[in-house]
Amino acid sequence: MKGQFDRGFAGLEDKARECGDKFNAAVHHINDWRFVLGPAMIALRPALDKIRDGLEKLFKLIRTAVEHHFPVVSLIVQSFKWIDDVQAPVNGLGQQPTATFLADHWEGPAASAYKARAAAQNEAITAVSTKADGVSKWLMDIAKYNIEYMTELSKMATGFLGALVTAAIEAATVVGIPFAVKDLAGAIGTLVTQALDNLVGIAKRFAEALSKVRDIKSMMTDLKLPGQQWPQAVAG
Amino acid sequence: MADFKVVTSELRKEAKLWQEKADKAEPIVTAVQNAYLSATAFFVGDLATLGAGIVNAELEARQYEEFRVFMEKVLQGAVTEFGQIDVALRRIADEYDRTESVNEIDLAKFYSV
Repeated sequence: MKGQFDRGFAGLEDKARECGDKFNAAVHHINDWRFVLGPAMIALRPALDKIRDGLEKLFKLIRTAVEHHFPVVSLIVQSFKWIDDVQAPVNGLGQQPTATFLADHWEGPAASAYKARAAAQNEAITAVSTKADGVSKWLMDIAKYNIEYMTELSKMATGFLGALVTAAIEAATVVGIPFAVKDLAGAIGTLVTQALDNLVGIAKRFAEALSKVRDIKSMMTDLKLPGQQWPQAVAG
Repeated sequence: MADFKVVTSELRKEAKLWQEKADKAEPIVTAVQNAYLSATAFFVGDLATLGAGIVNAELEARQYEEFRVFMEKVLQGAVTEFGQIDVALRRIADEYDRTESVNEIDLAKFYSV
């Protein structure tokens, strides 16, 4: 799962850099021809601005994602740790009544007092185990949407680079420049709309998963853990 | 007098199990202590740029932390309790060996520190 998440980042920054380089090369190329292009420049400018806006959005999204990369990895790791390092060993604490022969060799009020206390301890163990499982599931759900998001963002970057390569403005002839720019602006516009739509959709589903924190909160009160404490067998 | 029978060696064996549990529970407490997650750990997305009208995860991160603290406290309580049960059982066993009887009044004494 962590690998799947990391893959979303693979080459992401390189793609962003290439996109930036391609765009800068295009702008330089156009500037070289600006006197020949003359009045056509007026029409080119808004199209170039549109492309620049799209790129800036992509860069911003990538920057935030990269900043959050390792914290989110820790969330994925933690989600597994609640299972491996908490739930599993907690389950190991449970005790079978037949673990010793005490039950067969101890009777009377003192024995039943102990039995009641031991039972309460076992119930608390089960309760805590369920809670560890619950929080792990919650984190896993959140992790899942992070992976989806990265996959989509990675697709968006690839799409941008593809559009810039296809347009090849930096190599276009002076006659070809206006058409190439127009086509690219259109392509980028579509890509941005589509990608943002998908990303917002994922973000919304993420927010929904996140809001299930109420389940986590409700796990904090439990009859088996009176007063949010481990049940006391021995007072004090 | 009191109607009971007991084999104190079994009682001591049982006590030892609780001591083992206390030892096993210690690393779990540590695991929960290390389970802290910052608010940035919840989402890679740039919610501001996406303009989805979604608030960031700060509130949820805080609630997660509350839960983590709760689990830590509960498990810490378990470590203490397991150790105390071990002691209580041993003391009861000692008392049996000494007097051959433990009555109701004694119980309250054994199940408190």
